[in-house]
Amino acid sequence: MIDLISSVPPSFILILGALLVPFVKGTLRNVLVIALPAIAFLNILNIGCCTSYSLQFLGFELELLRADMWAKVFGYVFTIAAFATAIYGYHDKKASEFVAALMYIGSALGVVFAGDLVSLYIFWELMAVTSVALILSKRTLASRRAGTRYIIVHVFGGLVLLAGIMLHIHNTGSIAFTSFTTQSTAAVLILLGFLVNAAAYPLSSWLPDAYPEASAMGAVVLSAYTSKTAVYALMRGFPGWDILIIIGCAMAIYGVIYGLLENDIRRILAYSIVNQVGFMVCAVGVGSKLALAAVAAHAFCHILYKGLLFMSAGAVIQQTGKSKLSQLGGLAKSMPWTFIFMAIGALTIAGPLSSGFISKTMILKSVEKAHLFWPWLILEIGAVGVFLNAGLRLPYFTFFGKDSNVKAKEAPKHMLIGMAILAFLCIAIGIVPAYFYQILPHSEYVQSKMYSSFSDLYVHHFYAVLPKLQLVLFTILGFFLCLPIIKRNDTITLDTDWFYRKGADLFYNIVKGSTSIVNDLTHSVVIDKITKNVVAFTTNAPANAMLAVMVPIWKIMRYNDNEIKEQITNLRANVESNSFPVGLASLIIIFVLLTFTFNQ
Amino acid sequence: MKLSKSFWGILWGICGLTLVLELILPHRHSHFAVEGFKTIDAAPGFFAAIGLFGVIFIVIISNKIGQVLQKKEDYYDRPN
Repeated sequence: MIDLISSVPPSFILILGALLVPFVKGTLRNVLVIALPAIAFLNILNIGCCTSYSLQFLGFELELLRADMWAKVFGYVFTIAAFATAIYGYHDKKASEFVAALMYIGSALGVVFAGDLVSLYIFWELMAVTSVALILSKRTLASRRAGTRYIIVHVFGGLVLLAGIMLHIHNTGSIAFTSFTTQSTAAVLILLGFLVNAAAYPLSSWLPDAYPEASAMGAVVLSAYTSKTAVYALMRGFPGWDILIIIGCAMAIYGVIYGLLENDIRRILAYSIVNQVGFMVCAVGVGSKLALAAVAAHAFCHILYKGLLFMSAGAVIQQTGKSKLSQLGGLAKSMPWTFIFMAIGALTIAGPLSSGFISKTMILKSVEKAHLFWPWLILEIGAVGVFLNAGLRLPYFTFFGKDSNVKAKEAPKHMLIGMAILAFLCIAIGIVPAYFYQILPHSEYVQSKMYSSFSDLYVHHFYAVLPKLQLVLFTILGFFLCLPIIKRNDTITLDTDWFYRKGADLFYNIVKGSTSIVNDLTHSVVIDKITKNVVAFTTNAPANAMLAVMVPIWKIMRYNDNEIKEQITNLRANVESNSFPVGLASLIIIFVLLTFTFNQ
Repeated sequence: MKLSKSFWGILWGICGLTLVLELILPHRHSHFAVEGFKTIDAAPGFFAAIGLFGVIFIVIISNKIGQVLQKKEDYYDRPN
């Protein structure tokens, strides 16, 4: 059995498994949804490094199973998070949401294990489609609108990526996905495509715009995959590209400043994803052995604790029906377990004895070793900011602060179990990182550079932990000192999505304004003048022709001017209503014929 | 919620303790330079300062930005 499942790519297990979900009902469906990630996890665990799985497609040989250490570490955390989320979402009764989630996770695994650019692109686009299906499956107006904006951004990013890939294949003749060493147009386009999904500033606003509109489970799923597959792709494709250091630092600061202005609890977490992905992007830019291992480590740990935070925030929203900090507060008594799990997630962001401490230390150490003083300082301030915002402000105003008198019950058991799994891993990795180091790429090098036992980390080298402890403690002190000026208003903050939300209207009006000069001129000349005259001419022509004949006749018949005018009015009215007496018409025809005859 | 005096006492106490411990324990070296401004990361209390002043700096900056960019929640739903 294990041999059988180890010979197929893990993405197939989830994508094909997802197709079975609509056909089973009730508990069996939940069991299936929980079992599929577990099977995929075992599959990844048992894949040998030399296993391959290739397909022929349009004359290309697609490599769907490049199962090296780089891919496997992402595969582990993707399936672990999926397993915990499936338990967390046990209450969910919508088959469509499970199908979308499983296919989305499956395609994320597909990207990670893809050995060539063509299959990477196929899974990349499948991920965009299935993730928007996941957002839409909440079936509210807000989620539909956010989903529309989300897919527009991702279609744009996908097209840029496709252009880059096609150009690359055209130039090199190879579809292999290896690191890009020259700054060709193709490489830059591919980089841009990756950066859209990594939510790199200023292409970032789709993430906080869309994720909080999904359901409780949907947001947990979304938080883990799109940005981390992009980090993986950057790590494989663009290690050591200096521009990524600048982009990463910008993301770290942007996520903090915007997050602090935000009022929606899941949007605060969404901004902190941007901040944390900034750390990873920056380390990709550093590009050393330790830095790249740190990227994989931080992605792993970040998925665990950000998933945990999204789970507890989702539980709060589901139990209270409210998602704004300004409406929440004082929930610690009614939802103690949710509070404990959120607190673990919050402390994991920066505190010692947690997974975030291990991986963030690796990233900062790699930046230190590269002697990049300013990026290092910015990342340290970014670390303070994200702990301040997602680690202190969010739990404090949700569970303490002013009592909102919101009536709420503790989250249901399955939600708490889902959170407990991730919380356990967050702490376990922080206490005994040795096992964790073993699954990282360059694992031996990492183990030689980092302390791996509890006593080495926290006892013998306490003087090295002390500064990190100070950082955390003084951030807490700063938070409570600044409490009176830390805001939680009923507001939204304008982000770069303004350019396509309001800007689209503005653009429309500008285009309308500039082209309307031509438009108005054309209208007045063609429609108002020329057409009107042509129409008037053709409608009046029969009457005029008749009058040309009749007026002389009436004059011959000695009608006076008034009588002639009256006759003219009558004739015009008759022509317009097509109602002359037959006699008059025939008289005219005879007269005309006679005139012609005599003239000849 | 009013924070109690004992809460403030414990918080200041632990923070102060870490500063004292730093002076007793082995001294750190700078990772960035041998002399000059970039040795600041080896200065005692440097990380405490980053934590405390980092918070104040970030809160003030984001409040300033918020004065310009924060809008009512129905901003995008209103017509121009």
